[in-house]
Amino acid sequence: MRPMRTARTALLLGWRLHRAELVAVMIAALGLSIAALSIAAALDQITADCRAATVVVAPCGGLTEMGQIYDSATNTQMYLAMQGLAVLPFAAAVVLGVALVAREIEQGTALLAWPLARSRGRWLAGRILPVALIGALILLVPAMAGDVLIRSLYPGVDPGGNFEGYGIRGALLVVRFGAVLILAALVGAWIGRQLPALLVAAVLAAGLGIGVQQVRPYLFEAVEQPQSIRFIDRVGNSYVATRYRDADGRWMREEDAWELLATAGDRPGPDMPEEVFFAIPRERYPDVVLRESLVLVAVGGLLSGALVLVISRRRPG
Amino acid sequence: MQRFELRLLIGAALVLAVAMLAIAGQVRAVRADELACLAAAPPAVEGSTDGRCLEFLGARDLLDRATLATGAGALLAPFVLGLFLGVPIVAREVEHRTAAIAWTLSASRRRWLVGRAAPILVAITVAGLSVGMAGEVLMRSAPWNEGVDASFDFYGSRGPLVPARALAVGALGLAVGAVVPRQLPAALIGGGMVIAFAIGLAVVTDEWMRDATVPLPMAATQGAARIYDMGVQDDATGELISLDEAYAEHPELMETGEAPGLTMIAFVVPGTAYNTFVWRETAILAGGAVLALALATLVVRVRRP
Repeated sequence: MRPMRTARTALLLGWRLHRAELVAVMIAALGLSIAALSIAAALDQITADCRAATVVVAPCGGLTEMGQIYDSATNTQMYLAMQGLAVLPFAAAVVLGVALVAREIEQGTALLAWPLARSRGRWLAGRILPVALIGALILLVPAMAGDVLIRSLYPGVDPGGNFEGYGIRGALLVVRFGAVLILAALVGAWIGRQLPALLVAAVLAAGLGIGVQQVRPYLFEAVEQPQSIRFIDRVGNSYVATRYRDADGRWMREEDAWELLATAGDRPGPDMPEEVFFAIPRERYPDVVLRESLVLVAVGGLLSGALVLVISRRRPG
Repeated sequence: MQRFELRLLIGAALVLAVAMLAIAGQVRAVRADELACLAAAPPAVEGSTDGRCLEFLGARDLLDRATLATGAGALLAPFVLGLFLGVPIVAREVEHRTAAIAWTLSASRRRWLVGRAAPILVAITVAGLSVGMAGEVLMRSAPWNEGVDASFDFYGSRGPLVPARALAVGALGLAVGAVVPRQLPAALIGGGMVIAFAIGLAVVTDEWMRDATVPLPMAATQGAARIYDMGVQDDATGELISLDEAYAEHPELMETGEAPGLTMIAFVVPGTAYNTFVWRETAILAGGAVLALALATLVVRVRRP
């Protein structure tokens, strides 16, 4: 019973201390989820109409040729919703993370709380875990809504094996939130003032987001896409790079290939370089998600160590 | 009091302005070299896609991307500057409980507010002004704007709109910080209000733009705001025909975009209307800033420290 009571008390304290930030994150998460689900419902209706139709007309043409529904009525909202879902875990983690320690230091309550706690590490765990748990629970809703949206947008492809909408749905949202939350808490503990910490943490979180995007092609080996493959069979693959091969099948430098293509102009010959696309096949989606999650957990572990170090060494005032 | 934010944000704004000016200089230099190369190259054969002076393509592409990236930065800069410098002016004093002493020692709370807010609002405006001026130089250096006098290109990333938006958001942040005297919640609420205000302004501006559209031949739409509708003009009579009617009567128009005796028309707001829209938005922002400053003054005067 005692651990349960301790957990309940910690959750209530976390809610009470960070109510404003948690409500803001909740509003953003619910708003984006409702937007994603309403767009998904509109797309599902189009798919149902298209499957019942005997003559293929727009927007059903995209369904048969590209495996994707295009709806001009919801296109802009969908773009905005997807961008919002991509940014949400980073923004939510920064807003919640910086306040965890920085507010206690800035308002001077750490002066009292740290000496009273059995250890600063334990105090930190009591502050960070409830907020991380509540935040993760809130983010589960848009994570599932993002999955529903992608399932509706690409009705012919299993979202569990589709790189479209990578990072706007599923478990990655929660894992990214966790890693950035620790980063933001570390920045808050280090700077000790909320607004400056918010600015610095936002810049670092943006850097982490860009870094994660850059790392993705290296998380799994990309394979050559056969030239003969139809577009619809490539949907959901993660494009990685374009390379060029000469007439003898040897790889060429991009610059050499471009020069040959440019000088040939409108008179291409048989010795022109062949353009070859490399991509991670869509079936590898779960593996890539798992590997990125492991990388983020490792980064989070390192940041947690740094956070504990900062908390244990810094002066509370 | 706000040394960290001031140094970081004003410094970042000035770095952005310098980067924009450097990119603009580089764009002009590369473009001059490219034009010299094109002038010296043999004349192009009609219908050929043979490359001429292609060695500049890589540099041009890189500079185009840098132009767009810094343009996006200039679009965001006034919101970040205003929000993060405006919110803590009052909120931090109340949250840190220094307001109780400061307000008691000051001759009047209004004078205290002016002394605290004015230097920061001036700094926000000056930083916005430098970004706006650099944006203007960058926009004019872009090769696609050569010979264009007035254009909607880079709307919001250049000229007086940048400092006007920064000042208005700063005043709004100041008011929100006075009403909600905790920095982080105030920044979140202020951010939400700024987003709501920006969406509302965009909707209203879009309606005004729709009302101000004029039919122009597609070739004459450079510098115009986005295309609101399209149609076809009969060259002989000057009559405007809807696209559906034109496609039904001239199927070749759908494939080639051309038909004898017809000209494709776009309904756009011409670039010459740019100044009207800029000054109209600036006036709205100035009104909003005055209201926000009045609210902040009122709250500071009546609230308990």
